[in-house]
Amino acid sequence: MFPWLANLFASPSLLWWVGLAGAPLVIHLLYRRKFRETPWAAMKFLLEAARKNARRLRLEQLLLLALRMLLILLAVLALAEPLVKQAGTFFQAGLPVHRVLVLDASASLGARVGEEELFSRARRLAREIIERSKPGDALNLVRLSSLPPRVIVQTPSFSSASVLEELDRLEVSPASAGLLAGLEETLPLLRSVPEISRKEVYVLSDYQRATWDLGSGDEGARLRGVLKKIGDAAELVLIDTGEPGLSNMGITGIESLEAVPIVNRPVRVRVSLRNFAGEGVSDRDLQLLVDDRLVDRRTVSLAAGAETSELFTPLVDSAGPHRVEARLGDDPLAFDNRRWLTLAVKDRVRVLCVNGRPGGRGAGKGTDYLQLALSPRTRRGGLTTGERSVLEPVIINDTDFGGQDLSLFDCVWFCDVRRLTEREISLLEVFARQGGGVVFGVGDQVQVRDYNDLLYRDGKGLLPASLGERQGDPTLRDSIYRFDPGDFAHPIVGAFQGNPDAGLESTISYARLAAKGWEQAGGRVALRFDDGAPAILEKPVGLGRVILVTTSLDEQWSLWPLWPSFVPLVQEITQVASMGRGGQRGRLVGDSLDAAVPVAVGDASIEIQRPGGERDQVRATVEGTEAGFVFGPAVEPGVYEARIPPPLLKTELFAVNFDTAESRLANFTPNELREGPLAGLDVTLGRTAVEPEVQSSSAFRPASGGLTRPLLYLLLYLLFVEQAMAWNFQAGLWLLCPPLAALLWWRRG
Amino acid sequence: MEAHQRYLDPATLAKLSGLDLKARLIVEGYVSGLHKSPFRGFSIEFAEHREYVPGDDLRYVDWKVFGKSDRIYLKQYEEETNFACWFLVDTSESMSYRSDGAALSKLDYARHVAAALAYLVLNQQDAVGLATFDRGVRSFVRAATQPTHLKQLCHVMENDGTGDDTALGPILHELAERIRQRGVVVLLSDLFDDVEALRLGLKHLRHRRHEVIVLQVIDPAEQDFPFADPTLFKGLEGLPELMTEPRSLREAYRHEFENFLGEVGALCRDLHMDHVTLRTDQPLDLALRTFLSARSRRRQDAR
Repeated sequence: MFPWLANLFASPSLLWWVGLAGAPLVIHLLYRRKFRETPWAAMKFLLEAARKNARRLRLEQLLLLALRMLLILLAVLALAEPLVKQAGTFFQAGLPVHRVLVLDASASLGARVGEEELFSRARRLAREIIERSKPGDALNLVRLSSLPPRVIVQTPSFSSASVLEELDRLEVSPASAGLLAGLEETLPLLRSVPEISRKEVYVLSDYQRATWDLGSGDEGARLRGVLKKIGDAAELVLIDTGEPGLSNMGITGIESLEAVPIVNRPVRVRVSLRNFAGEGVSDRDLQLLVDDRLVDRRTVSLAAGAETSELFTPLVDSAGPHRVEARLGDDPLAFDNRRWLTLAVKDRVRVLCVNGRPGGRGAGKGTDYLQLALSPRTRRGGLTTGERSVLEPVIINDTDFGGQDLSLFDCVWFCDVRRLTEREISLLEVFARQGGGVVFGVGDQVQVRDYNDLLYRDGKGLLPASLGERQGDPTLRDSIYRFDPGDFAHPIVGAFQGNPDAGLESTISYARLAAKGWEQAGGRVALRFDDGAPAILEKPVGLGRVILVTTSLDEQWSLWPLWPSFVPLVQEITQVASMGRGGQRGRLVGDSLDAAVPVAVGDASIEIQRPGGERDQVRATVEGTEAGFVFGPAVEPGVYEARIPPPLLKTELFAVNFDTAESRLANFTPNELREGPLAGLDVTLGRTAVEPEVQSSSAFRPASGGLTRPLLYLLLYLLFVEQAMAWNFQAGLWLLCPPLAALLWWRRG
Repeated sequence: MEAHQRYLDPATLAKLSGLDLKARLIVEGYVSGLHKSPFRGFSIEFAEHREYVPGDDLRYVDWKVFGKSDRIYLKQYEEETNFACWFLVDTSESMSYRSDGAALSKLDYARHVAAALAYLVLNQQDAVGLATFDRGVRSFVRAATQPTHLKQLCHVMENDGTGDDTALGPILHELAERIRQRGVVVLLSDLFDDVEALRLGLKHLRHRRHEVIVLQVIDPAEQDFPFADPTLFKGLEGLPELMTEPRSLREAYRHEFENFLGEVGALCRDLHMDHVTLRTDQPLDLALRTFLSARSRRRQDAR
């Protein structure tokens, strides 16, 4: 079928039946072949009558034939639902209407203008449209939000009251609009009431640039495509419920700069802010709360469009999960005025040191220097500083590793361990995914092939890089490799920036293992040697991190353990590796909350308390050596609390924050919309709940299928006329065309 | 319908056989429905006066005598003996037509009417003659008064089948010449012929001083034209056929047909003849009544 027919008819495929219009002709011809015969005495009168009326008879037969063909043509056209374009509303009045209301419920609609929320304005306009419905009109309600559900009234409702009830229950969501998905879900609704040909789609939105400006790429094309489809199937009315020139400043981030927050040590918390408005903001109150207690406050001023960050250093006096909240003074959009951070504060970091080279003289064990570096002591056995070290090493031989309960530790160091069994690696993978840190140090005993086969596994394993041959001879000491921290970008070496006395750059190694393939494995280099070869590599695995040191952690290959840089570097490596235990579970609204739990928890029911206090239950699942739970998606910003039952008996906190993509309240003006995202589309734009019937805009285009009913009425009338004509042609002609009948009557008279 | 009148119904007559028997049944059925004899009043001549007694028909009061003498006398009549009635029955092909709604063809109907009237006339000892014709005269039976003459008449009518096309004008001329004795001529035909020729023929009969009664027999379908479906009309008497949609022609046909009937009626009026259209779905008493009343009126006019 010709594509242009799709613009003229809602069901162009039915036009194939137009061929039926020829049926009366065929029937007429066949009918003439089927007749009765009778002898006739009064033939001369009949012949005379036929002779005198021959022309009239031919005309009558032709008219009747044409009328019958027209009847079939009209029936087919009516079924094909012709689209009335630029035909005004004459044919539309009184027809039932299928209205689909698409209400933008994205966070930007939560902005307040005076006492009124923009979403309340949108809801009020939607209410006006719904209340305009007459009996027989069908209604659907769709919510534009990236959070489900989007289609609120899925089955077209013929009851305005029930749709109004649903509308009143709607609230703005702290999420983006999910514009494309919402509009794409609107399209099938338009096909759900085929018996109503007149369709109207109202999109009530603030037309926020962040939502509607999808650029000229794929997403922009998709938007225009779906709007065109809706516009083709229905009268598309876009109603602007936004407010230009709204100011807004929001908190765009909150993070702990500590790898592992420690009890009674200042926790550096950085709060990032941005002024999204076109004018400056001054003297806004910024508060920091820990466990809902105000611990610090600042006054912030920001120029238009500027960003800044504030550093807070609260002290936390107890170990365990804590909630930190940054709170900004009131402005039109409340969603981005609060942001949360969770901290798992520790009083110590337990480190398991696996010694691959037990025995030997003096500091001959692979872990001797490491133990000292993790928990430095004086020669008399006391602490090197006035404080107790928070790192608590536990030394074991590699043969004992398989029997360890890794959940008791935050980090595991391997020192020149020959190889690991598959089971040990499996335990280690679970440990890492659950947030544990794993550090590999190498040495003479390391079996490179086994490491590559079992730990690297072509980049899919734990190791950040595959190992190569040893470079340099520690006996001859003919090669010297020094560390080169580069730009100190990695957190492991960040502490050395500006501390040349720490001796990082002068540290000497005589041998190392070549490393390669870290890009493939998803690893990155934290520290290099002066010839560019990697010295320390890091790779995230689940919530945890795995770190590879390509030289030895004792004096076997290097003078590093004797150098001043060794202790701080080991401690930094440990802290960075243990970051997964720090409790920064930052998530955005719409994300799922998931965490691993010990297998011993089994399929126990875990209670989730939402920010508003409501409680839900989720059941943990066990798969092999891993167990965990998933909750969500989280639809409210705030801190969620997961209470894991015995034997773990532990509380985990999840901070769920608002996506500040919605914070920029700048919106499109109607002209910008017409020239931008809606360029070339046939839509009606307005700021009120416009009534299409009275709209005189040239952009107005009546809905499809408006001619169907008039055609059917005409069809019925012509059926009656056809019957009348067949019975008495003159009577039928009077019904069909009185002037023509009068003319014929006059001529005959 | 009462039992004695059912023989006036064409549908009932169609089930009977024997035209002479049917003629008797028709007449008796008709007569028994009347309050007095139909035989008086047309086939008798004035004889004498007698004094009025209660119950006598006032029509026969001689008002001239009453005016002169102040007495009421009735005129008494004598039966006419030299009266002859001729029946001219059209047996052309067009007379054989019988539509679905009719019990008798036009020819059968005409035969029944002719037989019944003949029986009526013979019963008064008057003479009855018969001529059947189509293009030419097919049978000619001289007038006779014997009651047994009816049998011969019926036999002739029954044995004369449907003939050819009609040529009414020449036939009437011929018959006008052949029927020399002045009398009543009853023409039974559908008259589907040239009206002008018919006029000349009838005029010739009048010229011969015959009293002519035209009983035009038509089929109800010929007058109503009730056909609805496409029909092939096959013309009789050599006329062509016509395939048509009858509904579209009905009005025009009926107009033509009524015009024809009107023309024939006007023609008869001009020639002072009685003209009655007999539909074959009508009871036969109409024909009898027409015949009797026409005769009665003529007699009165003659006086």
